[in-house]
Amino acid sequence: MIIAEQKEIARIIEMIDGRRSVLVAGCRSCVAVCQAGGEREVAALAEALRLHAAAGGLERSVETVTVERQCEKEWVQEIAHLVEGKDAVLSLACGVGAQVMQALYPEVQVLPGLNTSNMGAPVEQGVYEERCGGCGDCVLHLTGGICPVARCSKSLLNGPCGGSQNGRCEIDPETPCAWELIYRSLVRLGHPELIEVNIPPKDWMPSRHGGPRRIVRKSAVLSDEERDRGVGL
Amino acid sequence: MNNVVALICSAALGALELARENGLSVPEEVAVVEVPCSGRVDEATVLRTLRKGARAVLVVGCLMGNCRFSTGNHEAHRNIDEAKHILRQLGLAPERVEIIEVSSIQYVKLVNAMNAMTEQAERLGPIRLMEGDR
Repeated sequence: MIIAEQKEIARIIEMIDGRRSVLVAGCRSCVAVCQAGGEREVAALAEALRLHAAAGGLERSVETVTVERQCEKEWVQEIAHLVEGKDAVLSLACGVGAQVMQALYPEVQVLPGLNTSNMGAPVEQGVYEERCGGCGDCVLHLTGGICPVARCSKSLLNGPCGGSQNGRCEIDPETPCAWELIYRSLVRLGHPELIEVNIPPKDWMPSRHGGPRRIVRKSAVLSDEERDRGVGL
Repeated sequence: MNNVVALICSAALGALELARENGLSVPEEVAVVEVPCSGRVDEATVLRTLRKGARAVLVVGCLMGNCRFSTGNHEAHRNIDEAKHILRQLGLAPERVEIIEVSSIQYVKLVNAMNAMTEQAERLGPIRLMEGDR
């Protein structure tokens, strides 16, 4: 899932300065799980903005909505009646959701209420850690199910480096050395020999080095006739 | 709207009845609202109560270990911490919301807290921006 966190309210207030009607739009997917932009966070932020306006004598209406997934057009289309006439939409989705919202409603400015951070997972309630570097060329089968790109501070494909001390990374004693984790996982899996596999220099073209990525799933792409009939998005 | 709104867990509400039975008066400025559990009071509820005109909000939960829903009062503490964090970010006094724990027989503690919150609300006055920590 995508991990994000809410911007400071002072920054948000700066962004909405001068706007008289704002729609706070949340997302029930990833950002709800990481408690940054779900229904509850939308309600709390909207109340904070209303309280700020009331205390400052500002005329500002703040409405709320939370869609199933802000990164998919069909869910975002459903709130057209709420977006209409607003001075701004404050998106509490990830950067993807905010962009889909802006693309669908080009006449209304969409403001980002969150800082999108990484692809990760909850490790305990309220704690989220990065797990995937999105490199486009997965090597988890060689590394015991632990991503060296995201979890090694240097993204080493053949580790550990000399900075690994007692299972910890030199950048921070709280950070476990990914290659120590990889070695222990390979031993547990009965394949410690995989630590000897020399992973060659990676082709970074499927990563960000090839520009914005575009994945095409041919079996899902509609034919021209289907498009003419208005099937799909 | 009363100056103080007390959101009291139904399990701790017995303390209020006991206070009345024992002749302790509850300050008139305090509006009492029964909630099923203090853990149900989220930050949005606190902020809305302040926006609607209350100067201060007192959340009353059960003693630690006594929650009939196991950890509702732990959640209440997290929620009130979050509400204080938001108030600080807005430039408002975080002490506009407080939380206490009482058992259903600690009526003196409850009434004392209500009196203290009433005085605090009086001292803080109406909500205004940039008041900060006071």
